[in-house]
Amino acid sequence: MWEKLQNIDRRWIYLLMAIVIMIPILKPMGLPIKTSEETQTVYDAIGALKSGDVLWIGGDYGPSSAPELSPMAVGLVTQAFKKNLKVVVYCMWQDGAQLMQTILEDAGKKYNKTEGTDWVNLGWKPESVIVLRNLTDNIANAAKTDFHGKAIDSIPLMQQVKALDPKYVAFAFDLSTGSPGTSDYLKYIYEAKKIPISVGVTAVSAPGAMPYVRAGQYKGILNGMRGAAEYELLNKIPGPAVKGMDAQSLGHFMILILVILGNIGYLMSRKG
Amino acid sequence: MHISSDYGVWLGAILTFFILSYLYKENPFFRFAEHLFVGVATGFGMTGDWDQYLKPAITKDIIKDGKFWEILPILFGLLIYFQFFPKLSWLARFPMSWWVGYGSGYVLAFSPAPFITQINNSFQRFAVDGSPGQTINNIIFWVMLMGTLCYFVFTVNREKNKVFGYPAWIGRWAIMIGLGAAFGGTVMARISLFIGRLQFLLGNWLGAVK
Repeated sequence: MWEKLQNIDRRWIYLLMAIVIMIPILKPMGLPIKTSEETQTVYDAIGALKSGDVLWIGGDYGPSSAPELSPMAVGLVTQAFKKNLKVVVYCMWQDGAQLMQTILEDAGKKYNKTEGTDWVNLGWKPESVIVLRNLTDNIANAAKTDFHGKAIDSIPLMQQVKALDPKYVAFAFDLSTGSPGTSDYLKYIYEAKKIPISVGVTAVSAPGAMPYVRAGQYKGILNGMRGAAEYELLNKIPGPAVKGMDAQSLGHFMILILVILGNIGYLMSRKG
Repeated sequence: MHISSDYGVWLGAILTFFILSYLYKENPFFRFAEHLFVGVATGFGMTGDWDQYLKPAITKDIIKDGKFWEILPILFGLLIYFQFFPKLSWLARFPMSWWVGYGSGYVLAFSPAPFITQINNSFQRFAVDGSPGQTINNIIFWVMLMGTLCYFVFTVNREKNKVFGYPAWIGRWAIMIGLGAAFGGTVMARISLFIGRLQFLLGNWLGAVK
């Protein structure tokens, strides 16, 4: 019997997991979500910016991590627009440019913000890391055009924001799935230009990013879907991340049970 | 329940099922979706390269602004294609050596700074006034840090040399705890992706949830 427990066909486990996750999506349970210190630090850091300050957002992710990072992007843009911050977005991941554009357009309509004067999406550029470094010298030379192919020097907001430099940009936030991403912002933006930065990462990347939070190199961190849900709640816009947290909790609970059962099976079969 | 009438949503739903069918077993539907994805991603990348960089470089910089010198790096980069001509393939080494040299220098110039901050931050005060919790945290941090560093000293026999042996044993535990946290994060991320797909299928496609 114990050996049977260790050799369950993995497809049954997949099916069980699908059912366990599907139930709370169909019928949410409303499990409590407590705001972590790291998420609160991000919210407070952006909340401390003055009206008219420029928030730089790196949209360095694609559809594969959108369930975790897009709710963070919505939260960031919402907080920025509510505070009348100017938003400039640059993407080192090609798919990120379209994802960010949709989020900016939706939030722009909701908060009556105009593309070109209140926010700009520089889009994605080939050799994106080198372009990021060059943006710190001169945005018009490095990026040339925005997401739509419009020349940078013809965009009103970009006539005020000449470079990714503390003189023009008050805070930078990178939404990142991996590389290129947070490590590049750390090197070229925080260490080289001393612009305060914070990051939103997938849960896979969070343990690797935590030492930088502890050292004060990142002003807080949004960690995966959990961080996104906390940020949605802080901004009072509960969305897909908050809705997904019940399923997340039940999924983890089921994995815990399976790990315990697997270990019991292993120990008992060794005894036998 | 309001099933979507958007053909894009239907296509997304069908392709999601094709991809998830791999969980049952390898099959032609999965293969089709996989190849389609690779093809679309490649096309997307190529058009992005053209639209975002090559086109503005040619139409704006070279033709409109008259920066004709930009033709030189373009020609230099094109030398890479000589690798397809065996007799002249040596010409491809020039752009390649430029990229390797430039890339190495670029990385070396900027990479040490974050680590120096990390090293500075590893010198923590043991006793933090008024915060016993932080004091304990700092002591644990120091013990784990020293243990992990000892674990990666391979020039001594850790079984015989107890000065390195005991801390390395602690370091091994620290690494295992770190990897456990990373595994937990990986599980969380993978479940998040699946939740995203289910929200799409049950919400956008079937309209069963808002």
